[in-house]
Amino acid sequence: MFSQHLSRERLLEAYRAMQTIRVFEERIMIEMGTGDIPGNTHLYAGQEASAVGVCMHLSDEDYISSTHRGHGHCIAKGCDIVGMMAEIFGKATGTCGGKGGSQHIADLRKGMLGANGIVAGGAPITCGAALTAKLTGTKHVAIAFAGDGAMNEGAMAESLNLAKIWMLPMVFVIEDNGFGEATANEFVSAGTFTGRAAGYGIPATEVDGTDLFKVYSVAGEAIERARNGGGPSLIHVHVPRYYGHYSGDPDSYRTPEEKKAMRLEQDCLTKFRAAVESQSLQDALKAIDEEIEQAVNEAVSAARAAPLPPLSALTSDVYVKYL
Amino acid sequence: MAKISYRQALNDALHLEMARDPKVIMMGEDLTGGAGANGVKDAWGGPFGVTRGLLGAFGPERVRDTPISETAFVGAAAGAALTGMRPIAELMFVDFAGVCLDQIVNQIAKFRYMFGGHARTPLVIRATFGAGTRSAAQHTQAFYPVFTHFPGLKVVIPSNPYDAKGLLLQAIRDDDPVIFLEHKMLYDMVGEVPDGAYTVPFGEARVVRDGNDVLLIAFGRMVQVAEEAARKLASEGVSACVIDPRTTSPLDEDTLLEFTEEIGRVVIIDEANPRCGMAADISALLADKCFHALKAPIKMVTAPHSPVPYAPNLEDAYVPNADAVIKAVKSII
Amino acid sequence: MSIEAITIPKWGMTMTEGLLAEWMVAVGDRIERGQEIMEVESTKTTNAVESPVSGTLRRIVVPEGDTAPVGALVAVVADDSATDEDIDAFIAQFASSIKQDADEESGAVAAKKIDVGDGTVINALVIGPESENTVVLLHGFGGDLSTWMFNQDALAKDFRVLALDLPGHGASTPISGGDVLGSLTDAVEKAIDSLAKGKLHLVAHSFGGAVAAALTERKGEAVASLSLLAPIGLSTSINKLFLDDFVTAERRRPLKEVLERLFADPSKISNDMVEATLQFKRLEGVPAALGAIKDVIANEQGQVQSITATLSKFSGPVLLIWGERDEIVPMPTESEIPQNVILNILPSVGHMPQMESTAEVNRLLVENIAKAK
Repeated sequence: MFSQHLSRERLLEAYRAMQTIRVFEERIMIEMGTGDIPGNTHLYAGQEASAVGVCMHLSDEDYISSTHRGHGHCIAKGCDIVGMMAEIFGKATGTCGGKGGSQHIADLRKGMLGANGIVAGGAPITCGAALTAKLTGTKHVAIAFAGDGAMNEGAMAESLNLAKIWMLPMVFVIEDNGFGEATANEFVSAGTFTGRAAGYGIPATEVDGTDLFKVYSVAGEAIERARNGGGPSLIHVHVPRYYGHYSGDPDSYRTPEEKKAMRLEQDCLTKFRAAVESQSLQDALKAIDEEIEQAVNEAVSAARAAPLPPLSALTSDVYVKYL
Repeated sequence: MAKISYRQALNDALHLEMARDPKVIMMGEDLTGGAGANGVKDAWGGPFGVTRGLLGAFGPERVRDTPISETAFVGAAAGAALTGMRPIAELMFVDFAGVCLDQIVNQIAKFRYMFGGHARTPLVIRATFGAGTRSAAQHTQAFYPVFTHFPGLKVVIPSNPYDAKGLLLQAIRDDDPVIFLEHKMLYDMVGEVPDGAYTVPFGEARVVRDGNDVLLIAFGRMVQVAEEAARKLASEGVSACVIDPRTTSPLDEDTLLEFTEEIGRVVIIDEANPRCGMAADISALLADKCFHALKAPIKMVTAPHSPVPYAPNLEDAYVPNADAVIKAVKSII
Repeated sequence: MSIEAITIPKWGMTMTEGLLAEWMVAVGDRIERGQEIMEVESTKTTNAVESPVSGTLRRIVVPEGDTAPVGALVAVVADDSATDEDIDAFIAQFASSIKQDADEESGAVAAKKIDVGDGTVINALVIGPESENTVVLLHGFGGDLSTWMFNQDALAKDFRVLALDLPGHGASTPISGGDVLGSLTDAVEKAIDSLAKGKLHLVAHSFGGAVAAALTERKGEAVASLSLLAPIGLSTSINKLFLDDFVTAERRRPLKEVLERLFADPSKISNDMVEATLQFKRLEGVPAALGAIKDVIANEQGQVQSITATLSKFSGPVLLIWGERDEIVPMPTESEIPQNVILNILPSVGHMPQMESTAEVNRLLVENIAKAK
């Protein structure tokens, strides 16, 4: 069993991260129903093992960029859920002071270069962060998370090329949930993602994104390659997207049977619990479940109680210094 | 002090600042020229010779010739800036901004604001602009009205060698994203430039020439056009004041308002197309804040509402010239 | 019978021609020496020109709006005994003589850089005939050698003139560490030693006065005369706010307002002057150097330097010129002025007498220098 390769501490860490993401996202869905969350959110539920399996190899000094579906990456990278929840509620105590919202949560102290509302927008930025690491000789790496839809943006193609030609210490993690918004990936993508990477000379693997241990293993290899000067890699991760594209999407383009099967057969948390056999660990997991419930409750209460940003925030921080 | 060209002044600034601050890096197409080839290295020193010698002085890690991938390398500049470097990315022609506009306007311009003030993006995007070289529609635009429009960007347009060096040093040291626009026709312009380092602040207009009868506001190469018009007007007894705002964002509103109050007649000369351009922008400001001081309508002398043509006579007719300025002045005196 | 020429003056190093912007008197008017009679515009500045002579304005040769080269005849002043034919002859003869001069001289004079060691370079302008008497012009805080642009040619008629940019000013290297006044004087002394032989006649303005006093202490008998325009070091009070505001002003509008305080007539400040000062203040090292010199000039209690003792001991002629409306360095009281010093007070003049009352200042300087020879 692969679980023997991860220490108890690391197993609990992995579980805590994935479960936090799951509970957080499901709670967001509920809160959206109250009408108190402005705008839209794009929920990561179902994809947890991808973010966590990768981010377990990273420190605060490594970088990640994310997508519009960014809550999972934020949490996996260590962003504080109280700040995140407040940001999603648009409050002054949010990670970005309520100025960015769900699609622009960032925490540079944690190396989180931001969720991004532009598909594939983060890929070039990640090249830049990787360039900084390379030029300053820190051995840090940068991860560009992106979806299957992003693979067809010019920005992605350019970034793959640039990353390879400059041998940047980065990994492209392509989270393929089968859909770019409401359109199936098969309908819009020619060739294969790994084939495309190979075209650039970039080592690429495909992996089942519902298996934390497989993601962890494959990610570890790619990240080590990057740290050791071996240049970029691409990981094509297959994940299920539990909700619609956005939280208000009725998701009618998938059949009820598909969606039910997805939850039953492709739940990374269920699989994790099953893989972790020993009883004491199961107890520890349950304890973690309770902690997370409480933490998310508190995050929501705190977010609801917090004030909206002051009007002065409308025009502050456009520049460091304008005049 | 020495008499050097605008091109040399920019080159001096780049050398000085790259020597002073190891965080400054450069990326762009053919910044050196000859990369990966068998002949001479630094063969071009940039498409207009501005970056000559930097490869030799600072090496290929810090002076990078890129693939033709504006989105990737401008975005990489963004990511490097967010993570502590001070990159200078070059767009060979500002017209190519269309290819990477998302990185400029949706990412770079907005990081600091979206991230609640917790990010800094201290980068410079240098680009050439402007008409006169018969490079036609896709290599000749002004674009600064577009950049000026976006909050989060600063836009700088030096009109002479002294300002070119000082404004570029300021741009590199500035903690905000700066779009630095160099007029192609000014690269050979010669002027007195101090040898050492100095910065020219943003949002500070320069009074190029004193005068009381009419105020001419001009940018980039149009400053020379305004000066030529002012000289000709002087021989006819009309005294024209010429002001160069130098930066459109931030804009030195105080100086423009102060001189409009005193003089009351204004002509704005702008090489960009007229709709939503700087001439319109400044007209609105002056009409709003100086209405009672105005003795005549504000006149705008701009390019027409058309792309830049290729044929030499047509391109020459496209660009505002001294006669057009004089005509506008006479219509309000 | 006296017939005198009024000509386009030469201001500064690069002026080659001037535009006759305005005639303030008309043919037939009686004019007095020192009276402003015309406004001349160069590429850098517009200034009123004072008549060097008294008499009747008999002829205007260059009308308003015309441009003429430096040195060209623009008007003729004569007493009533001169006839129109005499005036015609004068004009004709003047035209041919100036042609000769033009063939001899080139238009502009260039300053040169003197390396004084330790990485310091002093920018210096040397004009006038070779001589055993050198007039050394020392400008004030925040200025440069162009402060003497209306004076240098008058002095260079008879003397060797050496105008210097003090360290941290104009084109001279900044100095900001350690004993600022000492290092500054070292640099100036070395530049003077390499450029001047024989006697020195020090002409200094404001802070330059402290440098002149320090040089006098070092050079003893080599200094033959002292002519100081509103120097620091004779009393304790000073407009410290001016110094602070000058150092902190980084943009055109605030700096223009600061510079206006220097002159009794604020309209004397041209945009070119403000721009030149801005460009100077932006140079690397200059802000620190200015701050260091400012601290040498004054602290919260007032002036730090004292030149009284040096002046009292000085055996040569000492001239003080002060503008009655000087808002920067107030005029010392009678008791603060040593016995051997002559004070000339100029009415309607601020802190820049060398620019605000050029004819009178030039006359006083030439007179004082002549006393020592």
